[in-house]
Amino acid sequence: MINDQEIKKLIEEYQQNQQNYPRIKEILSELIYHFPAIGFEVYHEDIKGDFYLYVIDRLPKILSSYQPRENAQFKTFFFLVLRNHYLNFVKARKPERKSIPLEKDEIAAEEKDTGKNVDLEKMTLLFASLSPKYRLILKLRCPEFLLPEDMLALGKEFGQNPSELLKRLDLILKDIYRQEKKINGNTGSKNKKISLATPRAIAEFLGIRANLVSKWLVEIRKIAESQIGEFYVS
Amino acid sequence: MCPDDQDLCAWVENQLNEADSKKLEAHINQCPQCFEKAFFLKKALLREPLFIEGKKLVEKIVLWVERQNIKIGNTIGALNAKMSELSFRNHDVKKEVVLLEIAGLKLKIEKNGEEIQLISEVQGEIQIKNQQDRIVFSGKINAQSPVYLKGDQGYLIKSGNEEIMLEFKNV
Repeated sequence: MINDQEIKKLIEEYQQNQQNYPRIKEILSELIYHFPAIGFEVYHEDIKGDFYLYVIDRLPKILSSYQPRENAQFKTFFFLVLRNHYLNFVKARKPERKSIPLEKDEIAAEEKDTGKNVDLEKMTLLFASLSPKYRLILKLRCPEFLLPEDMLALGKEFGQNPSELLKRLDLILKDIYRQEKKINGNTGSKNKKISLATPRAIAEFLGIRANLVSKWLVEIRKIAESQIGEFYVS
Repeated sequence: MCPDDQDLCAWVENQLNEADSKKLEAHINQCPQCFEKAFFLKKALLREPLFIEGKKLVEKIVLWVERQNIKIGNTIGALNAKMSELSFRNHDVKKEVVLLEIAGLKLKIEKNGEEIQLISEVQGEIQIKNQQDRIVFSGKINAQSPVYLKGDQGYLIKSGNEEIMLEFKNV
């Protein structure tokens, strides 16, 4: 964990006399390295390594332009800075894509895969056939995959300000991450087991009664069973 | 007009006063760009402990070799790093040697003049890249065939699925 007072003091001294850089870099290294996974769920070690080097090149400039504020932690601000750098980094490394015609055996393999993905297709159709409210409830079961636009849609659907929902995001995510840490240890891997939010956590997040969420989940299960015969989201 | 990034950070941390907080909330309810930033921060702050707390320390150990001593953080000495723990075997060591364990492979790092020498007690496979991402060594390492590195660069040493970033400064 980064000690906010310590890092702010070190940066202030660095800005005055260019000292402390090795110590600052040491403190921030791990955070920078894991940032693609933390912020964008990108776990590939090569990308993490490349991004680390990309940021380290720019770190002196980042530190020089930082203006400490008492009511905001350096780490939080640094996350925003890293986010912007990561978007630029991705843009810069995007390779030119050339369209290569598929070979015969590749076409056959694709067709074979399509056969295997019938279940996924059914699930997609089921998801599309649900009402917007039920779709959002299902998404809340896996809150890790929530997108900003889902939050805006939730606000609209449940008559709440998105900012209010955002303030309560930790109610639903903290529990998930606790479960994940228990199951997967420190993740750092894309091959992790996914935890589901409980009806209670969803209800707390939405500010509604838990039995209402349970009732909706039962209804979704019924719709799913009637459409695909088997329910995949327990 | 969009709030400044530090105000957004303070809001995410619940550090704004009520009036400023309400003003900012009114803005982010209308501004998808600021809402996206706030959402990103909230999620990233909650996800961070999954990766940082007790994380594979060995993955990102940065070794600073300064003047006559090998310094790791504020401690000088020989290092024995494992997946989840880091211990200093000898705090008073004068010889510039670091012992490092990566994927079960024990590496001895010695400073010889301007060069860094990497030796392994037992035979093991390693790959070393420099900071320009150029592979400088890929193959077997053991006591009979040490690897020599320039002391003014950083290296990414990979063994199995584990990686360690080594940085040498002012050797």
